[in-house]
Amino acid sequence: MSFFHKLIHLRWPVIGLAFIVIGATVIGLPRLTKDTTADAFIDPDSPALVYKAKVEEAFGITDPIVIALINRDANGVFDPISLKIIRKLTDEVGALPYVDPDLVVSLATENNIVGTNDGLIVEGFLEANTQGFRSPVGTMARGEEIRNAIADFPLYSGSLVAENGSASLIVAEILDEDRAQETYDAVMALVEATALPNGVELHVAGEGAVAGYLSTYIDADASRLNPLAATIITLILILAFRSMRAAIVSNLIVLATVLGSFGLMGLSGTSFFVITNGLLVNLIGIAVADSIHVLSAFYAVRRTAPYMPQRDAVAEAMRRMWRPITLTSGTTIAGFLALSVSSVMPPVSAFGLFGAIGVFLAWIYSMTLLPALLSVWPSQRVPAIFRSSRKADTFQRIMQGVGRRILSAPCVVVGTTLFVFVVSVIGASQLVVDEDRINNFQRSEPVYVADKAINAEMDGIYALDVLVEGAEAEALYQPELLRRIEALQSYMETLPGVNGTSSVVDYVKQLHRAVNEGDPAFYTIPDDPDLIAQLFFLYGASADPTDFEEEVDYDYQRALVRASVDNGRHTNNKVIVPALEAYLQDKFDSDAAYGTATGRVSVNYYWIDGIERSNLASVLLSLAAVTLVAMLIFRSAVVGSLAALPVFFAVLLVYAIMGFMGIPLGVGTSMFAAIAIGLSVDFAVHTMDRLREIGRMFGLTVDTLQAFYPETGRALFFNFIAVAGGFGVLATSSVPPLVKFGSLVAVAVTVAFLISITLLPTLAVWLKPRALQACPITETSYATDPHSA
Amino acid sequence: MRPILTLLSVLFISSPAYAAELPEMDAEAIIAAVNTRDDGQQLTRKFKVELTNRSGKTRTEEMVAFRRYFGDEKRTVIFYTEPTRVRGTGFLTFDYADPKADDDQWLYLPALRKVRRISASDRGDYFLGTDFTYEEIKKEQKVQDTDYVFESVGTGMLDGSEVYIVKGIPANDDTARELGVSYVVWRIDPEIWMTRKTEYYDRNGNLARTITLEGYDTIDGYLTATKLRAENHKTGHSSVFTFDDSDYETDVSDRIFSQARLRRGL
Repeated sequence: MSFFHKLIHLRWPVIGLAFIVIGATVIGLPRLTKDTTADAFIDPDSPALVYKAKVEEAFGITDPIVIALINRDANGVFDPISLKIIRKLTDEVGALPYVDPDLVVSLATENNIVGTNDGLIVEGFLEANTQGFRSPVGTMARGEEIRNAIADFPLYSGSLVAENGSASLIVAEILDEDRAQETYDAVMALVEATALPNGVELHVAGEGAVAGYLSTYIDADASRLNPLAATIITLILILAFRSMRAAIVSNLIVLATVLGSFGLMGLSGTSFFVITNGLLVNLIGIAVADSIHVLSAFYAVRRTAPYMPQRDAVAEAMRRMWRPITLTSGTTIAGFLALSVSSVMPPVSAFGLFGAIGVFLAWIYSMTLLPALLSVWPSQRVPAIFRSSRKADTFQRIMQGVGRRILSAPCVVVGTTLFVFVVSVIGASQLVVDEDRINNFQRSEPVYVADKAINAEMDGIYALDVLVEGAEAEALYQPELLRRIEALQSYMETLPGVNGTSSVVDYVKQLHRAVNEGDPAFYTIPDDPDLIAQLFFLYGASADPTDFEEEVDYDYQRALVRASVDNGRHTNNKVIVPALEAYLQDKFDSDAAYGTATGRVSVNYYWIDGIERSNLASVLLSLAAVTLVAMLIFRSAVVGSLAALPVFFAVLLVYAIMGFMGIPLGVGTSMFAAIAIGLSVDFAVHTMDRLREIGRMFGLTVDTLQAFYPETGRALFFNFIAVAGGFGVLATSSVPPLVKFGSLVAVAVTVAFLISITLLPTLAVWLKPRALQACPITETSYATDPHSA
Repeated sequence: MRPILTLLSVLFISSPAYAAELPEMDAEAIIAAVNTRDDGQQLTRKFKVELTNRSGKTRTEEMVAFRRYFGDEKRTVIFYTEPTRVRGTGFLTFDYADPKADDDQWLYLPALRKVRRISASDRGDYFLGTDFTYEEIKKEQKVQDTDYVFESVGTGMLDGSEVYIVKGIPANDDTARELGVSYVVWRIDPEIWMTRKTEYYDRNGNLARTITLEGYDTIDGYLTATKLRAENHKTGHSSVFTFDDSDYETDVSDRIFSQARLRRGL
């Protein structure tokens, strides 16, 4: 009795056990937690992230939500109505839960510091009883006074109010970053409820807003489209097999695989990252492929031996398919594990690991649950298209026709492939690494519009920071160190995209000028350390105890220098971050003053740079692993290499299309190659396995290989249609990353399918690799005339 | 026996019957009693300010302060003695009784050798970078009764003393905005008619700050706070004021409250 006969004999215990295992893994699902932050992509021990956390701790900075009021009229934001709106929104935002009312910054909260003949005035721009501002609040004259005051206050110009007066910000720090999404929604509601005169716009942006919104935005669309994809795959299964049994059994295997993988993910405490959505796609594709091949073999058996008992037919189909399915699973697992080991990004590592686990589960379920379910299925009906009395169905005939043409025109096949190869290399060479989170949103999305509008008017909302550490406490009282920081700021302002900088030095200079009757000649760093200490004291005395915390630490030993960058593009970051680091290496690399680049821009740079450095290596390693495993299982370097060709072309075409279409290699898109490997290797291995089967029995000739097309070719065709069709649906998404994702997955499986059915049989005939034909087979094989299928 | 005692004491202490031993008083009367405490005509004292941030780092400042009433007007001068780099820095204030009138303030920075007049602070602004507001420093443990509508919340125990609990809601929006509070809760000890603990709730109703009376003494016949702690629950920052060598007897010359004296230092 063969293994599968024994298994089918024990079918009920097998089904029971399988459902117990599924149930056990499902327990982990509720433990899955989402982590959609950008920081999740970076190794928690990476210096960039460690420093950012250190800076956040020392200086109390979080990623804020930013509201911009834009008024491009001549009076800009200084007209009374605009100022009134700023004041109203400042109060309303401060009253929101999760927003610290003391940490809302706007023209309505900030003080003007100005020197007079006998003293110093520190008062709010929008305060009612003022000494410096003569005109009452709510008048045009007051607006003009504020305009002049801002123009005379470099710290606010460009950062709080646009230099040309066309925009002004309200910046709100969120008390609990996990509530970013709710806070963003609440702020949007306030903004929408505000009546705006003509020409005035309100925009909401900021990293705090983007992070939460991005995940909701992607999830909302994915949760609409994934079921649609599942429906389409089911319909294709019904079309392929004209059988509910096929559709239901395949879907059960897919469900068991997906629930198992995600359940184990939850049990292991691994978070669900943004890219984990892609794993779902991959597992569905892989699990459905296994089912399609088993079902194809099952119906082929029923067709050739219609009177064989159902259980024997199942066992026979399994006997034929266990090997190719095991082989494809082995190669796919190798590819995923290579990805997991080689990636520097925790979400990608998890993707590889749980991808491998998922493939393993799909294999186990396909080897056990699938035959058990097929054997207990009550209906004995064989779909009409598989009855022996009938001629081949349309798809078999199409595939047979295709096969004939392909095998009769080897030069065309190889020539076309070479041409595609050359064109693809050209396309792939144009691939650039870039990432700008804001491009994940449609151009009409409020958060996209806000980002672009604010960055066009203001200095920029992306922060590039430098943490400057002195040798000891009170180091920042030393004029020499402050001058070095001043020079650092001047340098940072020369970097592309940087429109302004701020540091404690700006406050020292502003106060120095203010205590000297507002004389611009005193907008300098004093020479006397005691005076610097006393200016700090003066500032401290006129502010909240923690007001200064964002610029300097408690001991006056560490200062934060912040540059405002007007875009989040990696292509810009990779210019400015290394340039800044080189400057710091040169000027801030002593005990007296040590500088480290940090902030959102720096962290993003390291994150994407990791992709740039590791993506190619990781994909190559994954490809190499797949090839090596293929070589081992076919015990032949030539056959292994042939099996790698569809995978190689799938990856190359994905890169080529990205290159031609200007889709940059970024966080999400870096996954495409890995997914392409996972999905395309199945086509290659099934093809090679069948070619070997035919070759061993009948030799590798144009004639004998015709037999490849009706059964295996047809199965591959439905495998291709199911996956490409299912995920091609994603291309109709309204979320740009999902559109790219869906289209490129479809491209990958199309390429793998086409190369498998054209190039591989052609090369097999040409090269006649010994591993595909030589050998006296020991198995008591299921020997039929290849043409009978 | 002991568990029974403990149980009894818990029941007894937390029982409303016990707490009700304090005679009932309406909120206005309690606040009025607090406000009648005599501050003395003049006062000389040293004080130490310990500022601690949320990571536990501490800064210490020391100063000498003089205060004297000129009718309803209160004049204060503070000279910093520590830390060294700000030694000699002086701060002179004329507080006017009318809460609507802006106070006058001058600052002397020794390194600059100039007295600078500085604009009046809002009452809700923080006092010289501490967690106390100007209003709290100016009122010296008393309450501006026109700012709030008071409500008696009952009585309770605090550190072994029975206290009246009074809640105050700002009388109008302007006051709420100026003081930055939605309401305040005072726990007033009728033994001393001082508030032992005051909680300030920000405009969203979150507990923002707590001020605790940690020490007091009767000096020269005047009941005097000797240690006060202010904690900001949102920033994790705290300030402790310790008053030493309080002296209500020695005459404080009116000339000390002048710009010339500010320049000359102690």
